[in-house]
Amino acid sequence: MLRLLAHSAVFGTALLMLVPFAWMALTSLKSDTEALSGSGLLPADYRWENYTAAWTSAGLHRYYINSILVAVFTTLLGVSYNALAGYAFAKLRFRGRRVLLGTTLATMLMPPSVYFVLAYVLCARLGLVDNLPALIVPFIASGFGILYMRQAIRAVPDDAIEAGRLDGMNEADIFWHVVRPAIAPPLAALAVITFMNSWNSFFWPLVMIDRDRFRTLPLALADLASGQYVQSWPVRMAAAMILTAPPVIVFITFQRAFLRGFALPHT
Amino acid sequence: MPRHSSTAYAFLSVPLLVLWIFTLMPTLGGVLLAFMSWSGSGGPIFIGVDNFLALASDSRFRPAFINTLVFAAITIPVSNGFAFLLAAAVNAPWFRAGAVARLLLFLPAITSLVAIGFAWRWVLDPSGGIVSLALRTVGLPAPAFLEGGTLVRIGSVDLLNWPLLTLAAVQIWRTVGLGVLLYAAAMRGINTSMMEAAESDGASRWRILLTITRPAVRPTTLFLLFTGLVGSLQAFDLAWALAGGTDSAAIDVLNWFTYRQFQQNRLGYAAASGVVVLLLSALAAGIHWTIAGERET
Repeated sequence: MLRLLAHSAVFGTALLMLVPFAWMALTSLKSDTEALSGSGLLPADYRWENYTAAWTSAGLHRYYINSILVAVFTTLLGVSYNALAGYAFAKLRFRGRRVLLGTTLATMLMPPSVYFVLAYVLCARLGLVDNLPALIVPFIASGFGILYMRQAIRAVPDDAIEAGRLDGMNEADIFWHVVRPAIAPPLAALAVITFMNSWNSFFWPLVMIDRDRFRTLPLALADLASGQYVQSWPVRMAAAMILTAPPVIVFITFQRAFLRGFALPHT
Repeated sequence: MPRHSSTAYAFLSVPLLVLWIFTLMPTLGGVLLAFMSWSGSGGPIFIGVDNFLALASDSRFRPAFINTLVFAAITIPVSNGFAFLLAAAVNAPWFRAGAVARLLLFLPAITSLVAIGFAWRWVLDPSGGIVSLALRTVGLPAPAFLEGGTLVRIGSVDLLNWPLLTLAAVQIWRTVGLGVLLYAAAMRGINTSMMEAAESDGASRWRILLTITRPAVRPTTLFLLFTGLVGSLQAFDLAWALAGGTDSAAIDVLNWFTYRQFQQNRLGYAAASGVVVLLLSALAAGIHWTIAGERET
C-alpha cells in the first residue's frame, strides 16, 4: 500500500514536470485556430511548417549561431580556468591563500542586482558591451566553479601529486596528467552546468546587448513572448522548443557523469 | 607541502582577475554608488541616504520588496519539503525506476526560464491552455492565473495575489528536482544500521524518516535553504517571462525594479535597490553560518 502510494506520488509528480513541455510540443504542431480553440490534446494534423516559420521568419537561425558560440566558448574557457584555480586552492601553498579564497567565496554572495550597473559601466570602458565577448569573458570564472573544482581536487590523493613532482613533472603537467583524469565526473558536471547557465542566460544579455545581430536565443524568444512580431502561438511554441532542446540533449547525453559528479561535493 | 607561489599565481591570475573586475569591484563600487546620484554621464553627486529614503516611500519598491520575500517564504519550504519526501521514496530499496524518476524530476531545472515562463503562460492561457481545458472538462471555471487579483491582504499590504502565486508554483515546479537529486545523494550516505535497529524496535517508517533521516541530511537542507534564498532574491527571468515583459506591481520583484531604474539611467537609485538585495543575501548567509556552525560544535 505504502509502495503503491510512493510510486504514484513520485511518478505523478514526474508527469506534472512533463506537462508544460508536452503542451509546448503539441501546440507547436497545431494550426493557430486549433491551438486557440482549446478543443483537444492532439493536433488534427501535424504542421511541421511551424518550425520552419520560427526558424526563418522569426530569424532564429541567426540567434542560434550566437547562442552556440557564446555557450561553447564560455564552457571551454570556464571549465579550464575554474579547474586551474581550483587546483591552486586545493593543492598549492602560497602567500595570500586564505584571503584570496575568502574573496572568491564572498563573490558567490554578491547578487547581480548590486553589481550589474557598474559592471556594465566597466564593460563599456573595456569594449565589452554589445558584442559576443561581453557574454563570454565575465563568465570564464565563477566563485561556484572555483570552489566546486577545489572540493573535487581535494579528494585527489596527495601521494599521486607528490609522485609526479618527484618524477620531475611541473605543476602544469601534474594538473593535466594526474589531476584532470582523476576528476573527470566533476569536470563533466561543471561543463554541463556552465553550458546550461550560458545557454539559458537572459538577464546579462538583456543588459549588455543592444544590436540585433548579437542577440542570443533567450532575448529573441522574450521578444516573441511580448507578442509584437509573431502572433501565432504554435510558432511561438516551436521557437520555445528550439530554445529548450539543446540543454535537454546535453543533459541526457552526459547525465551519468553529471549525476556522479554533481552528487559528490555538497555534503 | 612545499611552496609553489609563482605557479599558484599563474593558475589563479585570469580567473581571479575576472571575478574581481566583473563581480567584486562593481559590488564594492555599487555600495558607494548607492549614496550618490548619477545618470551615467558627468560625475556622480554624493547625496547621503537620500536614495534609501526615496526607496522607502517609492510606491513600486514596496510591492517588489514584499513580493520577493513572500516568493522566498512560499517556494523554499514547499520545494524542499516536497523534495525530501520524494527523495525518501525514490531511495527506498523497493522503489522501481528511481533513476528515470530522478531524471524526469530534474528536467525543469535545466531548461531556460524564458522558455519555461513562456510555456507556462500558454499552459495557463484562458482560451488555449491545457489547465483551463482540463478545468472546463470537469465543469469548473479557470481562475485568471496571471491577471487575477489579491488573495491575501493584511491592512493595506497585498501579501499574495494570483500572479505571484503562479510565479511561486512554477518556481517550486522548477526547483524540486534539484532538491530530490541532492537529498537522494545525501540519503544514500546514511549509515543504515541505525535505521535497521529502529525498524526492529518497531518504529514506524514515518518516525524513522523524521527522527533519523531528517537530522542526517541536515547539511543538504541548509545548503538548499541557503541557495534557495539567494536564488529567490535574484529572481528575474521567470517573472519577466510569465508577465510577457510587461511589469506590474502584482508580479514585480526586486531585481526587476532595479533593472527598470538602470534602464531609466537612475544608476545611483538602481545601486541602492541592489544594496537592499545584497543586505538580504548577507543576512541569509549570516543566519546560515550561525545555524551550520552550531551543528559542528
